[in-house]
Amino acid sequence: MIVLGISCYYHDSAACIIKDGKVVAAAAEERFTRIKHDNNFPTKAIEYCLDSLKISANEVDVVAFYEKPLIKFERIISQHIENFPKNYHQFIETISPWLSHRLNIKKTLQDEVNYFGEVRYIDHHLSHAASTFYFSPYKKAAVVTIDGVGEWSTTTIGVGSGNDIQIDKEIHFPHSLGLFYSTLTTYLGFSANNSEYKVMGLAAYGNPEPFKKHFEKIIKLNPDGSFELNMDYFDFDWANHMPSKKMIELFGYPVRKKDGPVRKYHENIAAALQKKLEEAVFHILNNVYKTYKVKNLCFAGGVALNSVLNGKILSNTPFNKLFIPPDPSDAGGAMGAASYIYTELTGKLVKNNNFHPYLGPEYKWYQIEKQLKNHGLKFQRIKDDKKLVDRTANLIKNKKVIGWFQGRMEWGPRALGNRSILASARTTQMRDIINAKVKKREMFRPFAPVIIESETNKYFETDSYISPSARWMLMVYPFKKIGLKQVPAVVHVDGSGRLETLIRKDNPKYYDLVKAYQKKTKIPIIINTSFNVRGEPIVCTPEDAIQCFLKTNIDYLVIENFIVKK
Amino acid sequence: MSTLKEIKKVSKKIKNKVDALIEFVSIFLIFLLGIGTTKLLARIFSKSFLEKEYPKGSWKIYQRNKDSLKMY
Repeated sequence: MIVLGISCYYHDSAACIIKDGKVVAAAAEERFTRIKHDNNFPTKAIEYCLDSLKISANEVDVVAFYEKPLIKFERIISQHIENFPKNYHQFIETISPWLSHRLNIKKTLQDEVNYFGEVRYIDHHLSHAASTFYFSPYKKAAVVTIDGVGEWSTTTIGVGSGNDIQIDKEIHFPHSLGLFYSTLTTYLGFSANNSEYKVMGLAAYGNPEPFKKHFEKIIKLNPDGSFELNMDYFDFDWANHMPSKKMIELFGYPVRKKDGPVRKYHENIAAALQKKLEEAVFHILNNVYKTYKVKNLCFAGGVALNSVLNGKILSNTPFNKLFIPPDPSDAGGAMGAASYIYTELTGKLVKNNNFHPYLGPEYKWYQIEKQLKNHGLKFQRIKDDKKLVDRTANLIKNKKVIGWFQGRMEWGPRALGNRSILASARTTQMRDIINAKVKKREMFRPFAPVIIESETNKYFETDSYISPSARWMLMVYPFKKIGLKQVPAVVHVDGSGRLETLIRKDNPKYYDLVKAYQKKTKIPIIINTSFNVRGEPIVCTPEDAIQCFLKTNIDYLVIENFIVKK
Repeated sequence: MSTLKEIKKVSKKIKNKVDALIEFVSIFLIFLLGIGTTKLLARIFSKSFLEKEYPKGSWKIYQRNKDSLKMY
């Protein structure tokens, strides 16, 4: 059986294809269209999924759509009725796409990819729940999803057991932890559904205390484990701007302008926001544990991308084990929807034994060689992987910045060693060098370390159980002293690091590279940051990688077995 | 030929503008008559479409239609 899962029309459209229970391919539309967080119908991602099986659209048995469009439309109309007439602008802007195509997925599938078969629709949060529980190593787990909003739900809790996911309770829009965080993200001058991770990074610089009381007015935690937003402080239910005048009055500072200076009070607000989010999530999770008494937790939804929060879950709740999928956000809903429908129709679970996130396109050496020649670049082909890895490790040791393009592109928002920029983490200057040469991003944002998994306990203060999600850069832990001393370039201001743990089975060439570097330096950690420039999606094709290499001051491009020097 | 092409181009532009105007007027009417009237009725019958306050906690029992063939 072939199931194609799709998610689109909010942010980060994506497609995923499952054949006989195995995830064969998955990718976000933005990587193909080069439009960051592209929310259009994922035509190109679907075409890639079909190409990976060498099939036409009508050979797919069923398409799984990641939400129920009519219920979502009902919520949007309810918002408009409630806020009439002040929502006039938003109504004019948003209603047309709903009436023209968003309610007619079947027609769009016919027009865009020539698919005339069956389409099934799964509740948005059930898609999230499936994206985590069906890919987790647990037979039974509490399942919690928290995001901006799906149809009506913003938060759901339930339990997964065997083939079954039972969602029991939900919290409805407008009470949303995702939208709470996004609203403050826009207040701090960053864009919603895009830059929440920047606020998370900024939070480490601040002191939450001066704004603690302010947040107590904005969000209330109820004794039953639920939460409630005070909607006087929010306008997201009717306007394009998210914080209300009352929120601006509460904090006593205007909304920060995009690219304006970051002041101490911005850092403090970010710190208080992060703390309040953590408090609210732990409040929910502790209640969930009381209800289900299950030691395993599966977590998904956009809020599960908050890796600082994730790293604290096991130490602040009674759960012993935690699983978050590589893409817990809306794009991941495509995989969740496909896996849910596969299980519903066959009664079988997806095969998750060797589950890894390397599910995107890959390119043959001759395609790459042709591209390099087209650009008139001088290159060397090193056929022996060992020699390639050794040479690259030497370059990294010698403080060179490497564009590393290998194998299949990663599924999810993080570059995990196949579309990465790699560098030594031994001096703090490397952070400035990468920023100056390539990333040009805000100086307060940290770079992430990739570490050989077996060395994690030596360098980090982790939980006794290290979640497999740490392999996908979803956990932040404090560094131990040895880490602070040896790899300062990846230590954030609060002494933490958003680590990516690495096992050979997942990515042999990448693992061998870090191991070769360790042999030369006695340090099993290097910098891994995404292969892109600020504001662009991560590179997908060799052409994207070459363009990025040429536009920036990356020293070497290692693209499959070719080494290109500028 | 070029004149014919020009005419076609201009008429296409006019058509697009007329389409956009019709769409705008239709959506405006939907807003005013559909949304506005419903809001008025909701006011009369004290009906709220978004629950903004929960005196006893905000959990709701999850009752979504699990029939995946349905869009609702």
